[in-house]
Amino acid sequence: MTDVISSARDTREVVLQTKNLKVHFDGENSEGKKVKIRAVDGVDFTLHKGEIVALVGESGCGKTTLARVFSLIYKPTYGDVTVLGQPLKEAARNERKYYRKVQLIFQDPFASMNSLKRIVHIVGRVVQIHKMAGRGAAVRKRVEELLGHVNLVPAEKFINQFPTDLSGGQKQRVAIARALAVEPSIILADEPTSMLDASIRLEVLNLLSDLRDNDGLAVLIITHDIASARYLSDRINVMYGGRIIEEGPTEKIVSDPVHPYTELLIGAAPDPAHYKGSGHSAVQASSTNAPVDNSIKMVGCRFANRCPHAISRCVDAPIPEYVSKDGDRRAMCILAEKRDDFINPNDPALPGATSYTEEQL
Amino acid sequence: MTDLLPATDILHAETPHIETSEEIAARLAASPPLLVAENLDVTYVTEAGEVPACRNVNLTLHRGEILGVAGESASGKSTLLNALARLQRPPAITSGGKVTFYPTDDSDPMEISSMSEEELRERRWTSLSFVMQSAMACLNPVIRLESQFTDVIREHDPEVSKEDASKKAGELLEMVGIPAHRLKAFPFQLSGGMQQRALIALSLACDPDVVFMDEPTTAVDVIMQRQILSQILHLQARLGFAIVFVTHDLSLLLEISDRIVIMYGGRFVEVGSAEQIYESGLHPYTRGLRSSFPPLSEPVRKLHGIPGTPPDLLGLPVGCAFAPRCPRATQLCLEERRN
Repeated sequence: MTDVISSARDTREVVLQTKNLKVHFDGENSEGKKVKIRAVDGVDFTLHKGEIVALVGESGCGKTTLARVFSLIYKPTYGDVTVLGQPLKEAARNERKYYRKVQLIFQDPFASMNSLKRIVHIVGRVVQIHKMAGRGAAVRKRVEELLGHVNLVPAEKFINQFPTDLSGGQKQRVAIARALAVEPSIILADEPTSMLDASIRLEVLNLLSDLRDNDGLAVLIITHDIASARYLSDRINVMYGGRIIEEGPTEKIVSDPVHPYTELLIGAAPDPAHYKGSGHSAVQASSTNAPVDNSIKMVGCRFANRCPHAISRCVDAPIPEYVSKDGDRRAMCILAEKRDDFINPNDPALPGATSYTEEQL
Repeated sequence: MTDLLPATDILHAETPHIETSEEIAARLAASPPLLVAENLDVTYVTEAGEVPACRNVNLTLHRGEILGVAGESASGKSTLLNALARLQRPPAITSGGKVTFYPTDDSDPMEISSMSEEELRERRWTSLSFVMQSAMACLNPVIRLESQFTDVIREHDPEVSKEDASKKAGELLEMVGIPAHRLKAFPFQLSGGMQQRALIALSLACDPDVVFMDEPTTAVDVIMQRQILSQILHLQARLGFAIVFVTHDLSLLLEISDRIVIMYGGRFVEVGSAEQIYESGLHPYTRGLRSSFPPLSEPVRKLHGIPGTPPDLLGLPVGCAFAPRCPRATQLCLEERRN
């Protein structure tokens, strides 16, 4: 889509990119009939070097599935994935080499570490396996460096401790140190702060932000907490029903969303400024709570059944991907037509328009 | 509970009146006490020593009040909740103080700490009711929802027929937006959000005076959280029960609470209205917690949370438990505790 209008961020190196990525699973519906579950259904996603991109959306929207494609857990059903300029299929042939470039941080630091091993072993093992340092003392020295890098100082104090000796925030920082051990280019963080206490969440968010600024790390952060996403990320991708329905610079998305779902997501997040007595109501007229059923084939917008603005066009025809005039934002919602700052790049009236049809399987 | 509205009416019901801080204060001042805790101490007796999980808690909950309790892990907030409802089990014991319950039928006040198990049993669900964090752990996975609801209803009113109890169970489910036919479902057949809402419906089965809610929305995503909160607030406005709502998410508490208690190291460090806690928190811990949540509508600036880790309750300092992490601690803070 960005072929039509180029944007400033295109000058930076692309580290992760998908084109029309689909991940479908075979499943059963409530009647036991075999159905196809379209967990990821045509996603164009880009991550640049030195950039933090947030993927936000409710449970079941496909955000974790997308990250699992990048972590080689699921194979794409359709579409192209490029990792550091190489097609995913080629890059994935040598897994160890792949994980040297792409590292993961999980939600639960209590479950992602062997609690019977000391920190020096947990982080040192990665250093050894990936041959990032020599043996014995060199490994230990490297572990100390890494702990220092995530502000676990003095490193000598932490290196011989067990995960159970540490707080949640400290454990998550060990998990980050372990991910950094291979000097990766990309970090995939799936809800890295949702298990942590509020007061220590920020230390993890600030650490990721420092790693971006100082080491040029590219980070994909998955979260349903849009306030954290706003605090940390450069860009936000809003996912719904297996598709990215809105994407763009964080501040623009949060302050001026196009898609009603993005609006719903922002409105649902608790905002301390809306304290009781401030004249705001915590009660919101929520749309029907029908969860997304990805097994139903659908041409139009999956959000239409919950959307207050839906018209027949929303369900009858594929929704074009509207692009902002500066090329920096995309939105899959016909409401973009009402805005002066968005155009439909597939509009035949537009010079240089590309024809885009929903690719069928 | 004969005036239950079907779910659709709840969703389209008018938003409860939006009060100003002054109106909230006036309402609380005019409303009689429901639950009063005096000098409450809760201790965990462990092999490693006596853990002072709650100390010197003084609290008055008014009828129809929504009281928020905020704090980090291990600050004693769940312990307090269990102690107020006398649900704690050994090794937790109430080692000091008392909790008094003032029934809404204006009968004599009763001291929860000295009630017999049988008296307490009568008051559970009908006066004091509970919503836990993990719905799946509270609902029996191998019993259909219907039996779990009718059990509670008929236990407390044996004169209700099976059919009437089923009908009421259906109404309760619809009240939280779940179709009544799902009564036939087993809990595992419901989504996480639905389980949580079923549990809320169950907590309201016997028209309680106060519902204790322990992180009822922590396991669901923000959209489901907002739906659940909206339903709780609608029901609360209509049925008038009081809520003690425990969560670590202060920004959520600020939105829903009449008053907020901030706990640290087993003690109340500050109590105030949502406005006071937001605008002018006095304790450095309150301020730290308050600025630990990135804003959504205000400009973003670099935040630092609260450096350091929560205190070890087995080795609490003599002075203020927060002093080791406090940016404004003085020598006096380390030596003495002030109330």
